[in-house]
Amino acid sequence: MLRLEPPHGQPNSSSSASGADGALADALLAELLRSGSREAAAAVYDRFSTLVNRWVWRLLGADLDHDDIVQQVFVRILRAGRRLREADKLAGWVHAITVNTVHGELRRRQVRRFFWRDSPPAALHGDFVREVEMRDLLVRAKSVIEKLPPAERIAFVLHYVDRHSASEIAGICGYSLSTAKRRLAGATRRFEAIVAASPELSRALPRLAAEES
Amino acid sequence: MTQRRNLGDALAAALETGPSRRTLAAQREQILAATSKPTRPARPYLVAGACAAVAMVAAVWVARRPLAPANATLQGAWQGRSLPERSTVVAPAERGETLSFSDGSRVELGARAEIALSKLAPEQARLELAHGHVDATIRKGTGRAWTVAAGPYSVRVVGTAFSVDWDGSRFFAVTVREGKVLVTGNDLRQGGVLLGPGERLERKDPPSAPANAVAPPREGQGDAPPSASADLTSSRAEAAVATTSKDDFLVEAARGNYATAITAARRAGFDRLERELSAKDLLLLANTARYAGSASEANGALLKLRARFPGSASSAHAALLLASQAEDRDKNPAEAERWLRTFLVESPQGELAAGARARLLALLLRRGAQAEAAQVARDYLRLHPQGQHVAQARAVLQASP
Repeated sequence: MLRLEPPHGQPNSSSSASGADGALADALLAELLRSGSREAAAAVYDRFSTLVNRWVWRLLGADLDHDDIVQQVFVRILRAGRRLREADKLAGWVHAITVNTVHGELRRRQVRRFFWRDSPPAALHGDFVREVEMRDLLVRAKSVIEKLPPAERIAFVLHYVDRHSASEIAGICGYSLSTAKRRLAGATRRFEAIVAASPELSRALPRLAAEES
Repeated sequence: MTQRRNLGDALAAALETGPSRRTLAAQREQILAATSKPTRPARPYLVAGACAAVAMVAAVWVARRPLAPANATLQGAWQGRSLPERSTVVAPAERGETLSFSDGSRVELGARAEIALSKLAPEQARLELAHGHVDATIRKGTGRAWTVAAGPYSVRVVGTAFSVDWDGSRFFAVTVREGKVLVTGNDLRQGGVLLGPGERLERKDPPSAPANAVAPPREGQGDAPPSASADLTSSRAEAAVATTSKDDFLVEAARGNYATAITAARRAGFDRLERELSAKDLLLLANTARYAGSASEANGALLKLRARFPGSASSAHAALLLASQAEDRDKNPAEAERWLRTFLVESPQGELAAGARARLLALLLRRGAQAEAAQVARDYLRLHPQGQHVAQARAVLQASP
């Protein structure tokens, strides 16, 4: 089975395929995807698994369904690979598919919550560190973030956790800069209102930094 | 130094580790297996037709469907035949069998396993494993409570996928792959033991169970276990109490009930837990002690962790917590500096390292060690160019001769 070797002995699990070698590797990978080769799955997984896992882990917050969602992302990448046009944008394209997949999952959960009133909140993934302080912070933050509408939630995490600017969020999510700014502002306002309404959350969660989006 | 960290950075730090290597290794195999099935490109008109059909069905379903829980009777099936309530299935000696249920749940029986479908109601399903191995994948979100009984134990399904082994008399084990299960019965603590993904509970030679232990619980009794029998031999009783207390500690700590958890840890023997717990759980023990206000026990657990698991990520993390204890509680900046340097040697990069470098920088500036501070500031700018304290690090370098 074909595996794309990392350039200059870099670890294969590395997320970086940078520079000319990285571009060449991505061009080969894009070609493999377009051809629909059965070897594409392993090559795509080896190139992007670290990144996709990291993105999903952060967007959903160590979710119990993490592995299923990562699998969905790779299935979508392989299905859509034949239509890939610009190899130099491969990483951005994979990022956009990941974000769209997570968004779809959040919308499905929203619908489920609507029909199943007693649906429990999403549990943490078993691998999540048991360090009490961090787990508590994440559980509390998640309890608020899960109340945001899916599109706002994605924008919120991409900005505050992954440090993407509004224009980068617009590019990843495939909407305009003004939409990105509006969603970010809406998410921030909603988040702070939820936290402000709960003295316990106000004490427990660090304040959001006021930043330009 | 207690500094309010930006929420985003704090969340990024909390989520820094990502899934474990074991999860990723299993994930690769699973994804490659799933994607190796041939796929045909979708035909647009078929997709549109299917979408329209699904939309119509969904509209009818939404209009007619009552809110939770689902009220459809559960149907079981085996080898293409329908299985009514109270059926018993015995898998042949040479291979396993799969039971499927109308809500999408599946139970795979190991060879020779015998299981009874004692209740298949809209809100409750109860299976009774006489002996053997079963691997269950229970569909989420149906509103139906599933229980698998095995001898004197009951496994109540809170989440999705798990396996149960029961040899009919002496050996019982539950392993959870996904979701959560609550195991109750016999010598287990009142209220049961909650198991999460990757966790396993085993019992060998359990105290003898009532003869009718497999029978469904009486009305109003639920799955509440009998308390530890008074006629246990003393050594077995002690072992049961000790194990139960350790479980108590882990369950209570995982729930965030630190005062109760620390009491359970002391009951189980704090020293014993320090010797026996895994690195991850030992860190949990130390943090539980911190949160319960017992700094000396927290320090003891952290030092034990470093002694037992040198070179591990948990050991490095313990150094960071020891630095916090020294700085915030003991007001001992020299000791805090020593532990911060230890942490940075063992874990030079990452979100926690950025915070540790910033704290070390502040300590060095406070004691007037400009040259050392400049070196730490240079490291900070090199390793954390996007860090929160870039401006302070630059200012230190500009001020240094």
